[in-house]
Amino acid sequence: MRCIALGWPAAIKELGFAVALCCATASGLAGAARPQYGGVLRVDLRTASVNLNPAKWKAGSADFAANQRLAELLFDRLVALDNYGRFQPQLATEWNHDGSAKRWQFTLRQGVKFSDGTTLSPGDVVEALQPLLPRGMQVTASGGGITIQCATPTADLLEMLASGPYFISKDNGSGLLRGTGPFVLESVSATARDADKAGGDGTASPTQRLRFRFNENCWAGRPYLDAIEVTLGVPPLKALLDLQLGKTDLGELSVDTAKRAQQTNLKCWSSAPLTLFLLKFSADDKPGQEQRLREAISLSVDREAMARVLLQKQAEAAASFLPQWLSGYAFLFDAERNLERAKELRSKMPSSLAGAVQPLRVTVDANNELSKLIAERVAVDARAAGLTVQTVKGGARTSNDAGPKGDGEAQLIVWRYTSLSPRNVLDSIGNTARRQASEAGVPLDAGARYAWEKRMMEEKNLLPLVAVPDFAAADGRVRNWSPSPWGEWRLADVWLEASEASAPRDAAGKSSAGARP
Amino acid sequence: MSFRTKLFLLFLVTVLASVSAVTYSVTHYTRAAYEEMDNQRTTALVSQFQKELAQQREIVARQVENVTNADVTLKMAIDQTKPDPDQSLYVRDAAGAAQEHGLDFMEFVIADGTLISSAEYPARVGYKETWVTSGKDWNGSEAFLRRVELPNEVAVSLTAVRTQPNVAKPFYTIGGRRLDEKFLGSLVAPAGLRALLYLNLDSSFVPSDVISSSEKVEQAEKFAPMIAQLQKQPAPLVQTIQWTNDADSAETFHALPLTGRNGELLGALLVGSSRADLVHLTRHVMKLAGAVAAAAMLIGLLLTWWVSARITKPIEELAEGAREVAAGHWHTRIDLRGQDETGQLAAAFNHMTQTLSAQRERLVQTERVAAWRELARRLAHELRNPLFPLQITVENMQRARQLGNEQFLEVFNESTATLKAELANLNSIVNRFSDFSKMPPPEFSRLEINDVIRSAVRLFEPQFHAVGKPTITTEYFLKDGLPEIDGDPELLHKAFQNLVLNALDAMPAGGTLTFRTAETQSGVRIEVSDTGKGLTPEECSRLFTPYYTTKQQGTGLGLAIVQSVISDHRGTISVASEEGHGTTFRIELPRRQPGVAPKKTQAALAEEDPAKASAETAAAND
Amino acid sequence: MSLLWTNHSVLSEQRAERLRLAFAAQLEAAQVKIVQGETVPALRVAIEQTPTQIVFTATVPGEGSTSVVIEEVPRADTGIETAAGNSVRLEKELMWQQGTKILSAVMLAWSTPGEKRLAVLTEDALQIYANGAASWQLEFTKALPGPRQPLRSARGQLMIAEDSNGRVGILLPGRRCEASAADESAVACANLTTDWPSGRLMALPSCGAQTWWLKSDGVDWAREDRLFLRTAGGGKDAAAVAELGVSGPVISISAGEGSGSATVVVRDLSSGNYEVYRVGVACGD
Repeated sequence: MRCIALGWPAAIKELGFAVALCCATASGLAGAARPQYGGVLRVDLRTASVNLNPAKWKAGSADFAANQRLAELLFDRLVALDNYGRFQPQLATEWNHDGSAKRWQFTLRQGVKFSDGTTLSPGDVVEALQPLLPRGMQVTASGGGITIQCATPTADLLEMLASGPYFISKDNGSGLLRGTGPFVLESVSATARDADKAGGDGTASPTQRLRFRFNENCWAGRPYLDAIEVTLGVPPLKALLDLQLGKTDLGELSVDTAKRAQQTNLKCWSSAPLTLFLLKFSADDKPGQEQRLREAISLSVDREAMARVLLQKQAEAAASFLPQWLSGYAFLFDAERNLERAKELRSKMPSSLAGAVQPLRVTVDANNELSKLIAERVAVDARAAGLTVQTVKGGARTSNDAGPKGDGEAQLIVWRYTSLSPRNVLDSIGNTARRQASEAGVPLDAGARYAWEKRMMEEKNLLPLVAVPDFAAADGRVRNWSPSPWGEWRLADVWLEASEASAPRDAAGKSSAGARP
Repeated sequence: MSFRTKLFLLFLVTVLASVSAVTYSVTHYTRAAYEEMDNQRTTALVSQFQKELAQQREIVARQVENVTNADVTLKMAIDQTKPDPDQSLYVRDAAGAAQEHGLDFMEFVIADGTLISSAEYPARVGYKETWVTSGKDWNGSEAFLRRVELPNEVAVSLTAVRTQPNVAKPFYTIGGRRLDEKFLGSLVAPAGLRALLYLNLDSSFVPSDVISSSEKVEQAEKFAPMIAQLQKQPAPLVQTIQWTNDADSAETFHALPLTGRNGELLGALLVGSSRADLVHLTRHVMKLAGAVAAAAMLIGLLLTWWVSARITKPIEELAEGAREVAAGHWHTRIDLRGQDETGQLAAAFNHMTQTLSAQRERLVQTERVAAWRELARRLAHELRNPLFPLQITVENMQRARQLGNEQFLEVFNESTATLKAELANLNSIVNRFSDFSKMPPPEFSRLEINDVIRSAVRLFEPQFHAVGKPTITTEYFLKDGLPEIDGDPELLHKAFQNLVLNALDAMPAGGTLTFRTAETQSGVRIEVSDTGKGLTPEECSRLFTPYYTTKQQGTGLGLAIVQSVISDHRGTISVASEEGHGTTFRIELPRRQPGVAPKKTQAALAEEDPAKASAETAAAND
Repeated sequence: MSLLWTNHSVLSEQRAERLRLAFAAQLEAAQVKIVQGETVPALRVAIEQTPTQIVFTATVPGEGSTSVVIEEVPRADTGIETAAGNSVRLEKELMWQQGTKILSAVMLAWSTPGEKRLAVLTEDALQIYANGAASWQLEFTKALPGPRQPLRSARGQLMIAEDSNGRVGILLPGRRCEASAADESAVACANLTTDWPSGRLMALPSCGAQTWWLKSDGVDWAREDRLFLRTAGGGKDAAAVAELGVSGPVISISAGEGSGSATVVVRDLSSGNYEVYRVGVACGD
């Protein structure tokens, strides 16, 4: 019901008019712009399993996204990055660092409680963060906050802490992790795991459900939603159908289903390119010849066509390891196809070289349709240059798996950008390429970092191909959903349209219908 | 070979020939009928396949037309006519269209040949399909076979191409169905037939490209020669493949080549017809023929036995009778049976033996009379010779009585000497005749004939090389290893001596005396040859007659004694001679003497008791 | 050499242009002559952005190679952008913007002609600004008494009476407060539950006797909103007589200086800033 408000409290003389108008129009007016409490948000996720323990996550793995999205419901970080490039205080309210950016101090927010009611202490933060931080960083409790001492200048520490696995959680002693986030994991479908392990180091099997209920102790206030039900292992096409049929509210989509969703009345969202597809060659150093083969393959691949045509303009050609949105200088790397040069290199190769006579076998994850499509496209493009590439189905390959076995083999790997720190990402990718240990770390300076990345590109152990965004769609009743370009869904801020939302419930499940915030 | 055996063989050959002829005919016509039926079934299956293929062509063409005429496709085609169209919108549409219309392959190609959507190979989107833009009037064409490249393999597809009729720029819809096991499964093959498909996706034969709708094709490499021939020349072909060493594993394949638009071989339908039934039938016929032949042989055997019993037995009896007669049993008779030819033959035989017997009696008597006459003549001649001097001497003595005593005494002494000599001569003559008349029966023992000959001839060795006498050269061609025969060594010794004497008499100027021995079927043969003046045929014929001699002196009993001895040994002696070229006496002695337990030979006795043997020999020589 | 300048960041075109001019001036000062033309080497400067940085990339072609210089500036340090406004029948004028959250704002006419006050309600304070020579100047900051609202669901509404003489009413969840914009006195609150206004009734006598409701579209806070002027009494389905697009969700609509204006707080989605607009009804040309 809306009422006129011309002034307060001296507008008494107009109060009667205002009240009359208010009552006259109350019934017919929509009050849609205001967030409403209540409701259960139904989410379909593609991944078949999740791990809610950040310590177990692998940098660059495709599972990272889903793990992080759900971990955001349970845990908080020290800081968060908004969509406008500003670091927002979360569990840390203030921070500063010394001149060399080696020593960082964070002041912790007071009165923050875990979902089990215990108060967050600096010791908790230390215990949670230390296992997650890279080598060379030491975190200690200091006064009402913590101090992170870095071995090398780390001007991008905030970028690191605002992304990746750096959630603050606490093991309550029985292997369960508790967080300070807006939700608590209430249950996992009983057939997968013991429901008692909810909220902890639990994984859930395909097509299982996780239910998160609101945390009334959350320092940022209880979320609008009563609960979030997440169904795992839902293929994108099914998620789209569920959205259209009203069986779900928010679904994770794929390249082709996103295209279809755009033609419906669903709210569609796509992130910045977050998933990089690249070819990883054998780590053995070979003189000259293998380099020529890799270079020939790199030159033969038409990344632009791959992104524009094959992936229906939903992807971005990747000529570098860091995408444009993360480095700002990716455009300096040339993604142009040069078939003539590729043919020239091919003609100079001896016939015994893999790819020239025996097909170069590229192992690809049999369960990832997009990987198969990209690998097949690489084979088609390479054939145009006279190179024979054959795709071979294998199990899931991640950056952390062992490299391709033997000569003449490569694998198509999928790398997920899981950090907002370009240096951090490049460092992780460099480890994947198994570069020599003597190689110095990635520099902080953008220019030096560009040079470092350029050198790594020239080694041709890894060939970036395309980077693909995340896609999702939400039903019209989902409001205030503003995911970040780097893939955070921020479901805690979502609220549901009135027709579906019930009156807000307290922690005991009692309705408080009619209550106003 | 006996008549029975010949008859049996003849019957057998007749039966076998008949059975073989019948078997061959049956097998030949059965095979021909089978082949004819097999051809018809195969032709029917091939025809069914061709109909199915034609039907599938129509279905595919229709489905592609449906896709072409769909609103979505029209929209796609219209969008492509706009400037700078967004082709990425349709990348996934081909997959949806293929699924919706039940096709395995679907592609959309725009006017310049760029592939904008592909169900089977989405990775190729953006590349050109120049073959489709080079074709004309696709809308009027029927579906055709085409080689389709897939990400990890190559397939054969029944493909139709249609263009969108309502837009200015050509927009191609290419759809198809895969030629695979499912397609084969639509064919219903009768029992004993099967249909396989070979997808010619490689320049050389690949065994795994031979596919069947049901089970895996075993030993597919055996199709290699057939496929190689098809690859050289895509024309229908028939070949038989034997899967194992067993003949009933053979299968005849009719290959129908499946070609693409440009006549290239893309595959082949292989219709296989098992020859097992035919082989089994043939074997059955053969077995039956074998059984019939065996039965016929058995019947033939029985029949032969019965027939021969009726025919050969009488003949054998006749033959036996003849042998008896030859053996000297002149009174042999054969039982007469029947009035048929064998009975007549038996009667004739009996008559013959009877006649022979009578004639022999007469001959024997005649010979006996002749022999007595000859003997009397010879005796008279022999006796006359000494008797004449006896007569003269007595007359002289009578005349000498008239003379004085001294003269009479001289004449008396001379005459008595003469009388004594002539009386001795007469005595000798009488003794010889007496010896001849009382030649003892032979006492048989096992002896080596070569030894007897040598020992007989040895006695004359001094004479052969006596000084002042003509030289007689002896040659021995005595076969080694002759079997021992039953014989009387003394009689044989005497006989050989007589022969040597006879030869010596025939070679007064010297010559060569040759002894030959050889084994015969029934015993041994001894030949004594000289190089004397020879005998005339008349002389040959009377040679063995007692007292017959060509010599001026002699009793003429030597050869008769030889003949007697030989006869006692149940042997035969014959002479071959030519005037001026010598004479050869041929003696044949049997190995065994029936019914006589021969005495041991001197050699055997000498082995046992040398002293006794030498005493007996000395007694015998006295 | 020639200078090729591209901007793909959130910096406004005006600002990017200012930067370009400044850069060119620096080059001139370093004896590098900037000319136009395709035959001369091109110094390319691209302004890109990452989640936290504005990235300046300069490439200079050399002999056989290209030199690259990259510099980063944190986005948070790039300061406040001015944005252009549009004139529509509903006219808006940007009065104030800030990075921290504004729950509501009202424009106060002042006793001194030409003087105005801008009251800005944040999550935990009421800020009073006075219009100075060039911009608004902060006069007072009054903390809101009582427990701090949860960040996520913090809301508040400023209300003012026309003759309040500098007094501002503050509607908070479950409370009603009052404060003075003229002095530093504290904010006084009392518990009260009342309905919250979601629009403003406006009238402009020069446009006629009708009154309108000024409301927003009502979509969620992650989308750009629109302001609609609908005839009062026409119901929510009545066609809007005027529309005005804004650059983000409408956070609040409050009173303006007169019945013909309102004070609208919008969160600009491109910059994340909270912007206070004066939205007025204009009729005629």
